[in-house]
Amino acid sequence: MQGIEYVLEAISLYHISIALAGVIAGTVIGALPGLTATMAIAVLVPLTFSLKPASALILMGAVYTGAIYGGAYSAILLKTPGTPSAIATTFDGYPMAKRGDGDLAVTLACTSSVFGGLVGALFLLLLAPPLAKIALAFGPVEYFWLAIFGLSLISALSEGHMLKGLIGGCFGMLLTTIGVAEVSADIRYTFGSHTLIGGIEPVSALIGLYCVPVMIDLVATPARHLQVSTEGRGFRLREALSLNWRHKFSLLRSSVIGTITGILPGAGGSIAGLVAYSEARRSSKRTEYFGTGEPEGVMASESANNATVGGGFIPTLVLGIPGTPPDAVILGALLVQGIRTGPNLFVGGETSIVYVFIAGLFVATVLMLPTGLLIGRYAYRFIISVPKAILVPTVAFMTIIGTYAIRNNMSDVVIMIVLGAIGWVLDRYGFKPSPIVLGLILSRIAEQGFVQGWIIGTARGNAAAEFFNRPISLGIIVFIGISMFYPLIARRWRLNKELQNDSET
Amino acid sequence: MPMEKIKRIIPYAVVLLTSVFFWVLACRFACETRSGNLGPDFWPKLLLGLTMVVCLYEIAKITLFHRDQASDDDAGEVKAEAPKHYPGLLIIGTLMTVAYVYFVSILGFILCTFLYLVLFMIVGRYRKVWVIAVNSVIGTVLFVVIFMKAVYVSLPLGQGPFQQFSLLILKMLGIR
Repeated sequence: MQGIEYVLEAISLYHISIALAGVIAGTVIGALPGLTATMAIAVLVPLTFSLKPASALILMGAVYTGAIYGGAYSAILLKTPGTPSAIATTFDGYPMAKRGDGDLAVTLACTSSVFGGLVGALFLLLLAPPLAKIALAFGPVEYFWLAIFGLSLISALSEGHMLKGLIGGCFGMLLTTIGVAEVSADIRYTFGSHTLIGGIEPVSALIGLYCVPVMIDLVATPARHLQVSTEGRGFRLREALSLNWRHKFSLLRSSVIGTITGILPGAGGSIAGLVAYSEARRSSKRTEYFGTGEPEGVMASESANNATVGGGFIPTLVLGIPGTPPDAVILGALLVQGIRTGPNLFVGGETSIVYVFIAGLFVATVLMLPTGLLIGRYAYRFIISVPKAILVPTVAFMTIIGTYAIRNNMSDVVIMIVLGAIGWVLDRYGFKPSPIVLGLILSRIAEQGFVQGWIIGTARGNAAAEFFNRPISLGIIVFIGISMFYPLIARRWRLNKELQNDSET
Repeated sequence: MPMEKIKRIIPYAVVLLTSVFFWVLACRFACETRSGNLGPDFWPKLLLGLTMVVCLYEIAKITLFHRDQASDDDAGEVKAEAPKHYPGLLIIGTLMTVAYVYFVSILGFILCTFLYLVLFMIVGRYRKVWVIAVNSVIGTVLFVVIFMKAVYVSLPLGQGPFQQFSLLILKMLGIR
């Protein structure tokens, strides 16, 4: 009976209005390159002080969910992830838009995000306390291997130039070594510049590497509008749902990956999207089509990144350890509200707050479907109908201000433009931006995990054992092996089978 | 050595030389590493070492082995990926963006954005004056409201009279 009371409270007009406003605000902010989910929530924190704790949580959860989904718009339509969580969405979303399926990609991103968000919320509702223990079982070594698992995607993103992808990945990882070293806090590669001590902000590098080359190409080509094959053909909801149904296992797997990655403190939506994309690509029968506009790629990335919302709340609420950066802001807001997070939150006197919030998260995720479809449709129409002479300066301006807004620092804008120019030149020589970005995002976790793991291992007398003797590490290593070698084995197996069939006929 | 081979070697050679340069810099990091610990130079050197090995492998492969078909394919790909029609436009657009970054702290966010939008549309061969003016004004106001009122980003107001102008516009928009 109490459960029904919580649900009724969550679906009250007041809470539905809050959730709707939050989803819309989050989607719009998330769609603007440079404005992240963390920033969207941080902006709203002062507003939540006047709300009841459950309402405040619903508002922040709705903004978070909307912002993670909103990042897909610019990823699909402009090849620029609105938030880092949408990096993997660009791999197939943008090629889909280029061939005239942008509307389908946006709808697919919406339905997959809703599915992923619901799975994450379901895990939060049913399994929060036991799952929170997983977060505690992850040490530096496990994080290192998780980053390597993500980096194994380089081979998939290199578009047939594996070694160029490797060089690009190393370049991206090297960019993260600029500034203060992860563990020892020594200064590296700053060339005496105070600006570089803070390092290269991943989001500004991301915008530069993805967006600037697109802008340059848009300016340099003669077409008056974005070159897509066809006009928009409506929502294409039935087509998207049919694709979702056809790839239901992939969708579910990506959502579970997203939830578990969300539980891991510091991992976040970008890693969840990349790992889920890698796994979807590995297990797909259409591996070779990934990166060229394969709908399953968009589904994997979007379901995983939205599943991190529910997943991230698990350690935040159960352990008081934020699972993702936006969760850290939410945790701060909760502390201001006087709520003490911990296992007692689920069994003590504040149970109603948690369960009303979880019910509200379900409501916000469901609301994302109509709002996301509507906003997505108009965003698509707008992008393909606005002349380039207006679109280019608008997007260029947004990238500049979005980059500036991260740290209120114009140096980040300069770095963004320089990296964009480098990315454009590298692209001319076949070094694609995706492996560079992958290295950029995962290198910090990899370095920190490796160096800390090494120190712990050395203190225990055997560094190698530290990396290869832990059960979770071994599990991830097995997955890395499968991820790297399975496509080769599968291709060989398919070729053999085709040869056999040919000889029989 | 054929010109085609040299062209293919150049990017790898540039990356290799840059890696060597950064390796030398990594050797000069000012730090004291305790025995058993990895110094701050370990991770960069690992990455640079890997990059150098890959570059050397590619250079050796291009230099020593004949891969006519592959080289033709690659060259074709590079040529196909460069469909530039308006290099002048590209240079002007790039310069304007760089100028925006430079002038935004002097002219202020509002004026600089308005000018940037107007000039970009004119350079982009858009000729409807009223559309340009209306779009630029609406765009600037919209951006000001989103970034300064909704998201609380502290954007440059400019210097001297330009600052006064920015403050006047902000006052008109009800932004404090």
